[in-house]
This record gives sequence, C-alpha cells and structure tokens, in this order.
Amino acid sequence: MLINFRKYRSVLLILLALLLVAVGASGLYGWHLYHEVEQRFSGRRWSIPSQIFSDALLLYPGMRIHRPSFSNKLHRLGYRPVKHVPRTRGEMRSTGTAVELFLHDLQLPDDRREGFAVRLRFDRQALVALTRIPSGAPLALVTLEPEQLGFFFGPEREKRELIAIDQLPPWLTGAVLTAEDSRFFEHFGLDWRGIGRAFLANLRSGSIRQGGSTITQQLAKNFFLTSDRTLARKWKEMLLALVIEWRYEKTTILEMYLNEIYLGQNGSVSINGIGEASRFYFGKPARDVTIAEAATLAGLIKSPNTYSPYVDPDRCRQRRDGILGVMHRHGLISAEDYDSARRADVQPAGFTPHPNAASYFVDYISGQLSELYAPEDLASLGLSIYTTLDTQVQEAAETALEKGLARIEAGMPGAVDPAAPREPLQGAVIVMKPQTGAVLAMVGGRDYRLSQFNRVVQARRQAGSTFKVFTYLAALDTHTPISALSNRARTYTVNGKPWQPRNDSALDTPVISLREALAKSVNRATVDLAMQVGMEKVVQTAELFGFSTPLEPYPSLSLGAVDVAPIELARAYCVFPAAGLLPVPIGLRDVYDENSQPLERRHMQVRRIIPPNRAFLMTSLLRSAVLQGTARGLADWGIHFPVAGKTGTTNNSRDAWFVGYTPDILILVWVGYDSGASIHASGAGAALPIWAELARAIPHQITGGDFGIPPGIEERIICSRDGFADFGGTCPETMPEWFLEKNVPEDSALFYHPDSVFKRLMQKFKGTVDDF
Amino acid sequence: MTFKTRWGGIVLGILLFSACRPAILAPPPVLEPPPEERKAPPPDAVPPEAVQNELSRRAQVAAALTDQGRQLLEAGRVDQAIRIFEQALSQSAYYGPGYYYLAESWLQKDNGIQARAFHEQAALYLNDQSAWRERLNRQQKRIEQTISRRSLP
Repeated sequence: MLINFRKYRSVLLILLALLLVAVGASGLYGWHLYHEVEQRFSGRRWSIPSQIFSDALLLYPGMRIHRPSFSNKLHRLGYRPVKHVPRTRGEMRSTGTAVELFLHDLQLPDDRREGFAVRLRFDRQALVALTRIPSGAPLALVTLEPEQLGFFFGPEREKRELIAIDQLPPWLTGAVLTAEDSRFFEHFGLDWRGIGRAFLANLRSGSIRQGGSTITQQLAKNFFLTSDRTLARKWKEMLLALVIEWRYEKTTILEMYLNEIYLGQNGSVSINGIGEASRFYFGKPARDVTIAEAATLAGLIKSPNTYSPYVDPDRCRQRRDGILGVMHRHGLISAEDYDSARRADVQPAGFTPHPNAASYFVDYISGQLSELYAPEDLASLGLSIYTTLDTQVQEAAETALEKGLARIEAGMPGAVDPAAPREPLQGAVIVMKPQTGAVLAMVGGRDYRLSQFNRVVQARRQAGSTFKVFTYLAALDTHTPISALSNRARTYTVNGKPWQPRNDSALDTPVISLREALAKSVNRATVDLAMQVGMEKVVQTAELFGFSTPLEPYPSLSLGAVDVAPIELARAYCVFPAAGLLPVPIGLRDVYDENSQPLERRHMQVRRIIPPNRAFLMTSLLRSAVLQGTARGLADWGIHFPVAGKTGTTNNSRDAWFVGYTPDILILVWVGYDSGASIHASGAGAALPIWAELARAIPHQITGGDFGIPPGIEERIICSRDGFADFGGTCPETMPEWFLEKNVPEDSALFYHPDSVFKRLMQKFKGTVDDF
Repeated sequence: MTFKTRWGGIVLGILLFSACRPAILAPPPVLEPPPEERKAPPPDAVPPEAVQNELSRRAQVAAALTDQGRQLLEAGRVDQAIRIFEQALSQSAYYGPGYYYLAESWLQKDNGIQARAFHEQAALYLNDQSAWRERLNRQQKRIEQTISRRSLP
C-alpha cells in the first residue's frame, strides 16, 4: 500500500495542488463577484425615467365642463368603463347625466389621498353636483390627478414603478413563487432538484433547453450576465446566485426580482417590474391586484409577449388557471378563492399607447430642465416633473388649430399661395393665465412629427397691428379715447427716404377718435398718434414689456414692423387683464425626486409695469376692437362673453394674428408660412376663428365675467358722432367713455348731461333768436 | 294769434323737439354691436345669472384654497402655501385675499419686491373693504421695512 501510495503520491499532490488552486481561484473569483454584487446593488439598482405631468384638475359643483374633452381626459387617465357601480380604482360608469368614478389614488407630493368613488352629475355643460358613492354626501372640491405627458427615457427605454414587498398582497408573491421558484425559501440560491430536472430534459433533447434557474439565478442573470446559453455563463450565474444569497435576505432578493423582471412591451418601451406591469395590464397599483390578476401577472414572466392578455387572452387564461391550480394545491389560496379566480375573466385595463402629448410643450419644458439636469440624470433618477399644462385646453388648442388651418387651405379662395403649394400652412397657439403667467397650452406647429420647430417660442415673426397697443398705451398720458387723430395721407421721412403709411381698408373720414383708430386698426391715425407722442416714448413703453428683440424708434414700429416671439407677445398682452402686472411665463412648476422631496419649485413672478387704471383703459379700447372693430367677427363664431383683443396682419399677409383675452385667460393665435409667403388672409379671417373655436371648447377656464374697473378711472356719458365727442349740442348717440382720472377733459360741454336738457334748450333758443 | 307769436311757437316746438331728442331717442350705448351684426346667442351661451353663479362659486373655491394655504403658511410651509394661493388665483382672478397672502408668503421669504407687487394687487381688490384696509396698511409697512432693510449695504 505504501509503495502504491508512493507511486501515486506525486499524482495526488498534483491533484491536491490543483484542488487548492481551484478552491483558491474560486474563492478569489467569489470575492471578486461579491464586490461586483455589492457595488451593483449598493448604488442605484435601476434607471427610472423621469416623468412629466400636467396640472391637476379641480372639480367643484357649478363649474362648467366641455364634456367631450372631459371624457377624453378620463380615458387618458386610465379610467375604464364598467357596467356596475365602480368598485375599484380606475372604474368608471356613465349614466346619461352622470359619470361615476372610482378615483385613483392622488399621489402629488403636497397632496395625497386614497381613491374613492364619486358621482358627477351634469346638466348640459355644467357639473351640478359632486357626491360620494354610496353615501351621497356632497363634496365641495375634488382634485383629479395630473396626466402623464411623457418620459425621459435612457437608451434602454425601460419603464418601471418600484414597489416594496411588504405592500404586496400575499397572493401576488405567492403566484410569482409558484410560477417561477416554489422552493425559493428552502434553497440557498441553487435548487438541485430543478437543476437535475433541467439536466435530464436537456439530455433528452440533446441541447440546452432548460436552465432550472431559481429566482436568485434569474436575478443574477438579469443584472450581471447576458442571455447566452453556455456552460461558462451558467457557472458564473450559479456562483453569483450563491454570493447574492450569502449577502442578502430572502425578502430583499425577492423584492429586487419583482422590481426587475421584464413583463411586456408598450410600443418601444419595455414594461419592467410587477408594479409597472400591474398598471399596464390592470390599471391599478400592485397592492390592489386580485388573485386572478396576480396569477395572470405571474404567468407572464415565462414569456410576456406569448401570454400577454393583450396578445392571446385564451393562452393567457390557460397559463393563469394552471398557476391558480398549483397555488390551490400548495395551500396558498382556499378552494373558494380558487373557484372564484378561475371564473374571473381575463380583463386587461385597455391598451393605452405610450403618451406623446403636448410635444411642443414638453420640448419647452425639456429645454428648461436641461439647464438643471444632465440628460442621463433625467433618464435614470425617476424625477417627477409637474407643469402648468391643462390637457383639456391643450387638446382644444390642437384641434382648433388643425381645423382652422385646414379650413383656411380648403375653404378660403386664394388662401393658399399657389407659388408655395408644397409648404404646409403653419400655425401656433399659446394659452396663458394672465395673472399668474401659467402656460395652459402650447401648440408650436401643425404637426410635431413633421416639424419640431416650436413657433411659439423659437419663431420671430412680424407683429403687425398687434404691436399698435404700445403706441396707444404710450399716448395715455396726453390723450384720451376721444382724442382726435388725423387719418389724412401723409408722407414721413425715415432715414432720409419718404415713407407714407397706408390704411388696409378704405376709411374716408379725415379725423378719427383714438378709440376707433385702435378698434379699426387704422394705420395713418396710429402713425399720427406715434408722431404726437414721440417714437422714443413708444419704444420706452414697449420695452417695459420685456421683448427680447431690439426696438428701433422708426415710425413703422408703431404699426408693428418688428419681429417678436409669439410667447413674448402673449406675455405682453397679459399685462392688460392682469391690472398692469407683467408675469413671467411659467410652464415648469415643481421637480421632485423619487422620494417626493422637492428639488425645484417655481412660483409665479410678476412685476408691475403700468398702473391698473391704464391697463383697464387699454382693455376698454381693445373691447371696442372686438365689439366694433376688426375683431367683431368673434360674435359670428359664438363668442358672447366679454373679450378684448387685437387682430394683426403683416405686409402682404405674411402673418395673421389674433391676441384675445378675458379676465381669466389669454389666447394668442398666429397663422403663416415658415417661408414668409403670403397666406392671403387677415388676422380676423385666419387667426380669429381658431381663437373662437378654442375658447368655446374650454368653458372650465372662462367664467364669462366682465373686466373689473380699478380706481383711477372715470366714466362719462359723452355725445358721440363718428366715434368722438360732438360739441354741437345735438346728440344723435350717446356712449359711455372711460378716462384716466387725471386727464378727464375739463370742458364739461363735452359731456352729455341728460339732466341739463333745459339749460341746453335755453342756450339753443337764445342762439336761434339771435340768428333770427 | 299774430304772425310772430305763431312762428315763435313753431320755433319753440322745433327747438323743444331737437333739444329733447337725445334723451328720448338715444339708442343704447354704441359699445353694443350694430343691429345687423348682432346674432342670437347660441344655445350654449351662458346667461348672466349663470355667470354670476360661476363667479361666486369660483370665489368660494378660491376662499377655501386660500384658507388651506393660510394654514400651511402658519405652519411655515411657505412654498406649499404659495402653490395653493396660486391655485386660488387661477380659480378667481380678482380674489384679493389670495394676493394678500401671496404677499405675506413672499414677506416670509424675505422678498419685499415680489411681496409689494402682490400687495398692490390685493389693495386693488380689497381697499374698499374696511376690514381689510388696516391689515393692508400694516402689511405695506412691513414690506417697506423689508425692502429698506435689504437695500442697506
């Protein structure tokens, strides 16, 4: 034996050495893997794309609602129609005059509440009652959650909602373990029975078909390995599984797995994790899934696109029922639950395409975010970005613009320039809250897919007559609405060259009141006014409004011969309904991290640039433009609430504008070609109808109330003829007129006094007798 | 009746008619569109009483929100309070207390310039209410103190 031992001693020593080397190498490799696992799991485990949200909608009894757009909103929010009274989050039932909703949970960082059932009762376009179901208790105010507008994806384009395992119902974890690794809590990362089973199956087939992987192995593969089916990869997977099991608790491993697994596809975006899958397939958080839904989700893991309820409901049901059967046999669910779950239909929430709404607005916000965060942070940090966008207003703006542009192209003879037929007519719309500067909607062009150039923000277009307001505002120190302006043809010298402003339409009267001149957008009278006031003062006044383009004191500036960004023009007009305050346009409101901690908050910022009484007087003048002037067509479009506004048409009809506002909201519409070709239509003909259609579709934003009159304004009843004061004593028409307190005309004969008829009679009589 | 008396009577009659005509025949203010341009309101046009109801309901919503914001402000959660006051003003553009508390919020943030802009707006809508006048005066003093303190080198 000794001889034999000596004979094989060297071989044994070699084998022992090799074993030691192997153990040592494995130990070193295990140590390396341990560090790799530690490093990977101790930091950020997943890239969570940041999400961008609209504003929330406040619902209260008495508010007016455009029901079709409200219905679209509910659909976008994932409310799904049911025939019974809504019982779970996201269910909705329409019953003619009422809509019943089981609200989703509200998860705003500053405002959280559980979902509950409400009934919204309508009378035509008004929400007349808001009550709880089933108690019928009235509710004063309900916040409808914001809509997702988009995501900032990284190159992997994964969507994931992280969940904590202690928030999940036991049947969900049970279903997943049943489907994937029923001995998970018994093994140490490797299940020898599973490996043996897989080995036999592979031996029979002559190829590697089964892996026998535990949940820990799957996790190791997903995080550290490729999906290659090689022995080396399998060996590394097993080592990693052992390391993970050694390092982490079972529940932690299971939680990581539930958040990691791939569970389907929404277009180009992959659905990862059980939390996101619960939303995608059933429109609810993972904590609310039923037993049947849990088994369905668990069944997806094997092959998400084969067993998807959206792809093959029958196969999905077979797989679900198989899992339910095993769950029942393992005692995870009772016989009663098993029967009930098997009877349940496979009812996915409805496939909602990945949101791609308000693209120009999202770009606008992205531009601001890029100054705060790197693109890779936006793609991975899971930020929640809240904005001011009102999706109903946005939808109305997009619809009105598209319809309006199509109408111009199709219905107005000669509207489309035959010289540029291949170029699509473009348009832009911005809707703002004048008092806060909140941007409620932004449409930067006709079709984002064709052109991402945001005409609201990036374009510089000639302002045309919309710019006249600054000349009239500059004149309010020295002029009143009844001041007489010259409408005679006159030649001015500009840079040594003669320049003669022309009126767009024939207006014979040689003299015209200031009010009528603005209402009818009379060029000659406006230049006359600018010359009286002085171009320097006009420029100084306009500069208060924060235009970024340089303003030169040429007389043509008074007619709007200056390029402006539509958003800047809209902002400038906000000053009039906002009683003289210039707001900073605000689209981005709050940015929160994934733990709901605020990273960025933007509040409304305003600056007083004119006194409230001047702002009101400008509104009063612009009311005349809507009632009697170039914008009087609004009434034909069904606008019967108080609106002030100004049309604009530039040389050769290159640009058509309408900026109109109520006390609540301001809308700017621009229509034109990018190339600057003529659209052969005016602001009133092209932009105003778009404004009107949009305004009619957003009753929840427009009260219909009138403009408030601030202190410092005096009202007088004046005699008028042709729009300005008549001193002759005969008064065919009267009208109220507004004056700044400081420059009410002193000549009382100017005003019409109904109670002084006798006095005037005597004056007239005396004059007549004298003549006689 | 003599010639002079008869003509005198006629002249007097004409003068009486012409002098009184504006009072008798004066049309409604011309700020209304001319008759041929007036259109019957569409079925969904909102009647004036409905507008008033809407305005008062919005004011109620604004008041409820402002109350909520005031509590946040008292709890020192200024940014959240500002957000709520902004919501209130989105509901009711002329809601004075919303502006007043916005000014208070900005005072707490030590920004007198922004506080003054909101204070002026609050004064615009609240100055005719005696209950608010004194508070507005006190607020104005605090704003001026804040601005002058911050402008010191």
